[in-house]
Amino acid sequence: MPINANLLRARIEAAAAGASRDLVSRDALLDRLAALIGPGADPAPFAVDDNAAPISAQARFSAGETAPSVFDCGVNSDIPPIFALIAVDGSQILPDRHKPMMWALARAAAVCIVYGNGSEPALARALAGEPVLRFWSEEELWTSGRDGEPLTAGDINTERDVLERELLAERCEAARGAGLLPIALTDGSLLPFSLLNDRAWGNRPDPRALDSFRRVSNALTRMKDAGALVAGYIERPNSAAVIKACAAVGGGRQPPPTAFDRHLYERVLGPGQRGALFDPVWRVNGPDLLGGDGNAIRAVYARIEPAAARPNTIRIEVPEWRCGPGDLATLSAILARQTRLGAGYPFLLKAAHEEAVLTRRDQAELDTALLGAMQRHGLRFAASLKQSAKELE
Amino acid sequence: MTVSSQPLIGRVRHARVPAFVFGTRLPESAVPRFGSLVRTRLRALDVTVYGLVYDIEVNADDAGTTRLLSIAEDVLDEELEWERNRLIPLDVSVLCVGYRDAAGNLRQALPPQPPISLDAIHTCDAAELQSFHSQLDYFRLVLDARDAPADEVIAASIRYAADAMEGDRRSFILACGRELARLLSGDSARLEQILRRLQ
Repeated sequence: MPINANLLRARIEAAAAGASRDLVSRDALLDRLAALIGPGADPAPFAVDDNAAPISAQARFSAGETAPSVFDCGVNSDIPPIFALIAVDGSQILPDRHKPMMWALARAAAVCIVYGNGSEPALARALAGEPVLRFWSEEELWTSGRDGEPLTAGDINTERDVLERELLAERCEAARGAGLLPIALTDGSLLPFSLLNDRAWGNRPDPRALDSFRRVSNALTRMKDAGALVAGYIERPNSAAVIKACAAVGGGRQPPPTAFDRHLYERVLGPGQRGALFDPVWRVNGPDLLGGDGNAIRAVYARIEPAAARPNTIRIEVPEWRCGPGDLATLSAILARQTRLGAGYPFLLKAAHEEAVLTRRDQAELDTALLGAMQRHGLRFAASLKQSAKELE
Repeated sequence: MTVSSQPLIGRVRHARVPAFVFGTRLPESAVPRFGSLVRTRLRALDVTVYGLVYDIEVNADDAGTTRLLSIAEDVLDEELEWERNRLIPLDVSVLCVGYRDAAGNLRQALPPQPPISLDAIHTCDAAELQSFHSQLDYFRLVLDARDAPADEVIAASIRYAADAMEGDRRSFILACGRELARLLSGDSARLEQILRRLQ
């Protein structure tokens, strides 16, 4: 049934008016905070005190570049002559308890282009490898769940993220085995979202988070051993770690929850520029977790688009073992080229998405295949009456 | 008859008794040909189903990178070659034209059941093509097909099979022509159009 928008008109108007009113004060605050990290600002307030404990989710500019700095992104001459560019992405189908049988599926897929070695599409295809599938039957969903509940959507999303990192490590090893420099890209953070939440790492860490952490850290170590350059490309990032650091330095009122680091860097960076590298200060980056394995993650904001394009501040995450100025120049130059090719979004990540995506049609076909298998084994299940009624629509 | 171990080329996406569609991702050089014979298996009945490819569609869901490269400037040779050699996602439509039952008997009639989603699809080798074309009863199924370009499919299938008839190419095509003449005795215009396509 269509929505009667008139019933919500007052709420919509109030939301727009509120956003407009808040925008003025938010912009004033962002301008003030941006001045703290703009060129020429005093770096002293951001100096890291090694004796002080880092404050959770508040950026620490401890990675060798001072906060009030702007650097040029890489250019074509920073791109190595020969390398294998590898991108991964994933997709999942979540369980539906109204179906005749509950099931779930995650898929990770990689794509690869070999640059500078002559056209070797067969090699590129071999280096991309085969997609990885993880299927959960109804029984597995329930036995793997917690507190009498089946696996959650968050659990399945995390498993998909871990599969992607493991596949990326495998593909980097394959590229290195073929004598090529692997340069690896993920869509989004290098870490599964569930690991970034500090609540996962309380006094008694969640065993599932620990398992995911170990697998991801192992994958990062494999990429490191393969000599890979690795980057997580985050479009429209919603982190506020740098804003929090600036607010702590600058004092005054706290920024609103709708102010993000990208809003800050839009004021500081020009096209083809990046800010200073920083430690996002996640609990998972600590010395007992990723830091202890030498796999802590660093981040940087950048505008890699050309001058004429719509401003787009992105976040790039890199592992601590390949995050020097030369590495960032190479990665930003490659990402700039990829985004030009991909109409604003990295071309090869778009290709990886096409390889990985699971569609509603895939879901329907798997439903049919499962029903057929159940029938062959003499099983008879039916969809819930709610599901059956929906399908009559 | 022993079924050969031809490579798997795709899996069934959806099916009816007279026709099915399978999905595949293959390099350009391995894309199945219009009119070629493929097979799948009904495991529950131990039946092998044969069908003729009558449509091949590039899956538009996956064509985004092609669109991007077509409008991008400064595209490198490596990128163009990569796109050209990508495993092309295809939906291939197949007309069912016969089956081999559990006892090994070939019947050029509609199968007892449609294939099941995700059942494997294989190409047929020369021996299977020769064996299948030892009968030509399937012509009637094709000529009566409503969803497929029947005349094009039958001509293409004859040409395709003729290539597998070592030394007997001409006599095979003549036999096919005679069978078509018998089936289309009341429609000389249609017969002529099909025969022209066999030349």
